[in-house]
Amino acid sequence: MSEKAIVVNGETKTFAAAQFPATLLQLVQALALAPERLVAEVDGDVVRSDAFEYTPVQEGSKVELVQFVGGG
Amino acid sequence: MAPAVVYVNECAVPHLPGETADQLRARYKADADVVIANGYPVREPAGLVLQPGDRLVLIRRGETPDEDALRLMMVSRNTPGVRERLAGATVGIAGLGGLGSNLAAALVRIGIGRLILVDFDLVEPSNLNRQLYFTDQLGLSKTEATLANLRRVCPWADLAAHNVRLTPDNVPAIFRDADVVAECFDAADQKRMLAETVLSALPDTPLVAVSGIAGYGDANALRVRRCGRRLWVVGDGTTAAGPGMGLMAPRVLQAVGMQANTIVCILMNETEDATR
Repeated sequence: MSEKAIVVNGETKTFAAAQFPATLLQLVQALALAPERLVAEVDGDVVRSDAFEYTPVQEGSKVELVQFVGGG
Repeated sequence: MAPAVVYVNECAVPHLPGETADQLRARYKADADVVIANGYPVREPAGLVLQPGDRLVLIRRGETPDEDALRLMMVSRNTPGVRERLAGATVGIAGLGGLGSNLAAALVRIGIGRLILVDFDLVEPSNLNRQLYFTDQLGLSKTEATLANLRRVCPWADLAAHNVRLTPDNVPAIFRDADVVAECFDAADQKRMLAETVLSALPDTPLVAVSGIAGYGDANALRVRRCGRRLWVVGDGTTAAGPGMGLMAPRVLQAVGMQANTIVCILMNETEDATR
């Protein structure tokens, strides 16, 4: 069975080809993260939270997902 | 070739081969009882032979020098070579709570040229376990109280204060001239808004943010993580303030130190040091 990889926060994440996320929102959901707390970059470009759903990700994409929690 | 010089209280003077710190003290400020060479106090000035380009600061304890001398003496323990770079820098501070009130003081102390300070809130009693305010400042706006505190450290500091709530609409204009922005909010949704706005609307501005510094515990759990080209995040990324989980000076100040150090590394173009 073939696999596809994507780099998230510098770590390679591997998915079965059939389960590979098509969009940033699907990737975030697959990683069990809450989209409303995240700031995301895909291949160096910031993606606004309302655009996760329309932002494609591809094999080899470099994604940064930064989660913000309260306190300061 | 230019003649060799050493710097005494930041004034260039001729370098004479073999001359010691003690001889320079006798010539330029004989009553000085603190001698700092290249950022470090000298125990035995008679034994220190100056080399061309060395920087010597001569201070008489208990004396308040005039402003020009004081400005230079204040940063005489800074690492040599950072003064000009820091003095030319502008740092934006979004939020003047536990993080921002203390970060502003750290940056003023090391001689950052200009600070843009933003908060909409008032000083209240529950702030005092971690924020740099005093009981006689309760009820003042945080911008007003921070300006007063910073001016006690450094009366000539160039400070711009905005007593407003930051939104995606005003962030770009307020921080347009900042070389670096520090995210110093308390609420998670505000932190996220600022990061998204700075990264998308200010295309060249680095941001040093904080996430996950609540409570107390393992000091080594807090890290500085570089996330992409322009974003650094201090904290453990997960420990949120909430019911049963407080916010206290020890960890907040630890994060402030990591944030301030990262800002210096960014301004000095030595950002690898921030993430190692």
